[in-house]
Amino acid sequence: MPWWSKIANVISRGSSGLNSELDEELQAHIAMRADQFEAEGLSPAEARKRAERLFGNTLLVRERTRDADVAQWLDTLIQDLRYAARMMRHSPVLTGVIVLSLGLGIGANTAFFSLTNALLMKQLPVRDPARLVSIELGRRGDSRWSDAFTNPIWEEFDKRQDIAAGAFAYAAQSFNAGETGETRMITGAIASGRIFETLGVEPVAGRLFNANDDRRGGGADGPVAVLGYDYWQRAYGLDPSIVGRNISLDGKPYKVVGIAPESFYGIYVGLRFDVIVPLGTETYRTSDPKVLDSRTNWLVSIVARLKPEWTQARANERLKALAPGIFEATVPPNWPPKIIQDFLANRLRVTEAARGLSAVSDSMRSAVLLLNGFVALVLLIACANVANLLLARATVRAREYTVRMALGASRGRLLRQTLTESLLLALAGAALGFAIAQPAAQALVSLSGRSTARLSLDLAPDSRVLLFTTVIGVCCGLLFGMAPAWRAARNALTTRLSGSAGDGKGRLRSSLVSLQVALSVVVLVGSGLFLSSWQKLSKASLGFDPDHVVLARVDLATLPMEQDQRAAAVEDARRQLRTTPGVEEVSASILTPMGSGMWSSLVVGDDGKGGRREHEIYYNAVTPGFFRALGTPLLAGRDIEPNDRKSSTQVAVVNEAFARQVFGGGNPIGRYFEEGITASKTGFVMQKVQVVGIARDATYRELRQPPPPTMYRPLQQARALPYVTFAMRGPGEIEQLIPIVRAAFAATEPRFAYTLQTYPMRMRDAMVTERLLATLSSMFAVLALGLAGMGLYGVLAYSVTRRSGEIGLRMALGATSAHIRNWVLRQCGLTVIAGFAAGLLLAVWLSPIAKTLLYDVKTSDWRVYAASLAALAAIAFTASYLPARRATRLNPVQALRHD
Amino acid sequence: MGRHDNDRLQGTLDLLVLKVLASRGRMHGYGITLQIQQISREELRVEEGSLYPALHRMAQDSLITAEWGTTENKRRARYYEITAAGLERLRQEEENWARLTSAVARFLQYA
Repeated sequence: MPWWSKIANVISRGSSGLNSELDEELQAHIAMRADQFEAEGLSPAEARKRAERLFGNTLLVRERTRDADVAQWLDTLIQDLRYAARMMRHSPVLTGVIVLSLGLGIGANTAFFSLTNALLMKQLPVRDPARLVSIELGRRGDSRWSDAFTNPIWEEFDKRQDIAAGAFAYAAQSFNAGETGETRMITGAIASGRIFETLGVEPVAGRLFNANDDRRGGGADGPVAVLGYDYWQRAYGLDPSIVGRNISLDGKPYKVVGIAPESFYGIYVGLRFDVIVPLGTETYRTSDPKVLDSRTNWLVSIVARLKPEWTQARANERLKALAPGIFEATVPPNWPPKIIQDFLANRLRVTEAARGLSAVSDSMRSAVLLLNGFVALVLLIACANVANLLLARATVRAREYTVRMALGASRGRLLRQTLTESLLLALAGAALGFAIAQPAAQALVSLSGRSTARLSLDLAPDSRVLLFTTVIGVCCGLLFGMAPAWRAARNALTTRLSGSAGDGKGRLRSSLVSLQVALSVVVLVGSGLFLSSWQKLSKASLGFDPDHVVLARVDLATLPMEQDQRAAAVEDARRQLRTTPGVEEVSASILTPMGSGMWSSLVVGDDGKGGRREHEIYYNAVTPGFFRALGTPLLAGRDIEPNDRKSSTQVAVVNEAFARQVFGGGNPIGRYFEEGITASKTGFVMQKVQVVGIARDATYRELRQPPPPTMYRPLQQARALPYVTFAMRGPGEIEQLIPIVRAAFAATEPRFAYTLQTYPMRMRDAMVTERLLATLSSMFAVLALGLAGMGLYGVLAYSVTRRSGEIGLRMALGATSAHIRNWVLRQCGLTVIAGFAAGLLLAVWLSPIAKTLLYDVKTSDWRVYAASLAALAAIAFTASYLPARRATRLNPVQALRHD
Repeated sequence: MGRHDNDRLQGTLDLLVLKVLASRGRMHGYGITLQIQQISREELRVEEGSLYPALHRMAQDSLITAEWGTTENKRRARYYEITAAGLERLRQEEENWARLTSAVARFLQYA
């Protein structure tokens, strides 16, 4: 009977399937006997009655027969399991080592899978997520599609579309939840009114907002806010009385109307909102009545629920027809005709959004996927180790198997017994792994977060994670159980009740070690590449001095003052802050190196050969003292001065890259270039700007890019001033500087809501992917090395024991201990070199995968390969030294007697 | 390696069934009952309550195979057939039986 029908028997115990067959068989028996009685002359009724009486209780027979079917199968299983458990109890150390190493391996794999699952596979916890689509925009000549739209495009889309039963716009923002002084930044979301009805999300307390609340400046209840469950718990301890009260967001009161459910984190995977407010209230929060009318502010994502009868293909057809009208109505003003043509040619499409939109960077995503591969390799190495341990034990148990076979156990039965043992071990490992996976995944998430944006993922294990762990466990069990099972069955073939059962020349075990070495080379090379990438990045020349600087960002837009008063207010504050004892220099600038913003300007320069060329130049506006505060040397000319006012000559300090690119080298001081200030139908309105100084090239925003051509203009001549960052330099450590800065702000500018940052924080944030890759991959490399070393040691130690007779003979025949040692080392050498060679090929073949994640390191960097091989060689030598020494110390007489 | 190894009576029924199937070929359960009764001249009467569990157990152990067929009287019945493993088992059981009976006989003779 095949195994599946046995399982079916067990499951359908008492149900119809098996019983009816059995009943039919038993009834046939009775009928045949009745036939016979009839032939002997009885009436049919009498014949039947006698046959039945003779048969006895059919029900009882049926029960007993079926029990025989089921019991047999269960019996063997239970017997196998009991036997396996006994074997595990008999060697607790071996069992412990195996379960622990598998548990760690499977746990790491499950943790990464949980992360991948949360990032890429889990569906949004809303009603029927399969019908959700996100709208995407395709620009002419760009193969990538973007999911960012301006608010006017969203409004046009909402007005004209007929593909969706509901649609909404969504954007993530940072809100300051602090009342005064230092900011308390929380993750905010802004969404148009129909979000909750479209998604089918219900509140846990109060109500969620709707289209009536989504009016410019707020609806009937004024500006309202809905709290995320997590934030409600974190900030208000689940206090229900917060509903109906006011909270402060960016200094403006909002009325809390309800709490969103715990499972609902928004639509960006990885970015859980703390507070969500209607899109229309943005005019109120920013005090800018036109903020939602900007046709160049690519603010929102659009998500829609397709009507039941609409397919994505049909929706795409419809969007093709709608797009020209939508873009016609939302053309940004004052753009040159050529750019407007491109804008009108924009396309729209829908794309599946059941899993939400990703807020996690592509590099982080590929890093997680890549590390998935790393942990899989480590698990393979662990499996090879376990296989080796079990093989060694199988050799020891060969005698037991032989006896059992002699007693009538079939080879299949032994195979099954060995596999049951392996599977039991693997499943124990999987259970341990499952238990440690969630805390491990949580730790991974906190390791991957940035100080400005916590990564928040729903890591609760679902059925997919459970299935993954089980499958991994069973696969591991089969993988490492195969070799010992095969060995057991094969060994038992040749009946040897006496003497030690050998395993040929231990070739199987050696090749397992070679495999471990090969996989370790891959892990080592990978981690070497990531380590050197991280190291290179942390030593990258910045062009400024990040130590001893504290940054304080102030949002000027939320302050009650006119635009043209801002520069003066900032300059006042800067002067006062400068008088603080313990502060050497204070500057203010729109941007600071490695910050989040990026401004650029169109610059037209004379390239020295009479030609005029256009350049896209990175822009910053700074107060006097900026270069001193950040520690960027001025190479020539002068700094920005207090006298560089709005009305005086337009001036700029430029960096070396600017001088090279715009002026083609040479001394640019005193020369002029033109800067585009406002766009118009005919092009840009330009103004002349004079270069007054040159600064050393410094990182602008991206640590990984060489400093781009940059110009620094006086803050008073800035084209806009929505926010500034004060940079304060002190002589002491940053930790001492921070309280000084806090006190200074409290004393001088209590109006300012400021956010403190330091360069160590920014460096950490900028290198989060590299750090994650480097730390985790080197952890895995250490694990891989240790496992491979253990495997090698095990094989050699075993081989020395097994061949002690041969060694004794050689010694008796005059081999010196050096001979013996070399002989053992040679054995090890062959195994290791085979692994080296295979591993190198594998590493060279696989390394291009890591290319996009490396900074300034080639995937073929020979130093990394050399270091990996050296590390492995050292481990191999250590692992083989002990067995080799033991071999040389064997007493020939005893060794010979051993066999 | 079943749990009934020491169950001598059970073993005896198995032995009888295997022997019948080995000598007569393919048979259904009722046929086996008849055969055993006839050959043993009604000395051995097979209990249906034991026969069917035994048949099913042996089918599980792959000593015999079972499949549905039709009798001469056009009735559907399950037919059993002995396998190579069954023949091997039969040989062992026969040996065991011979040893046991001769031992018992010797005992009765000399004790």
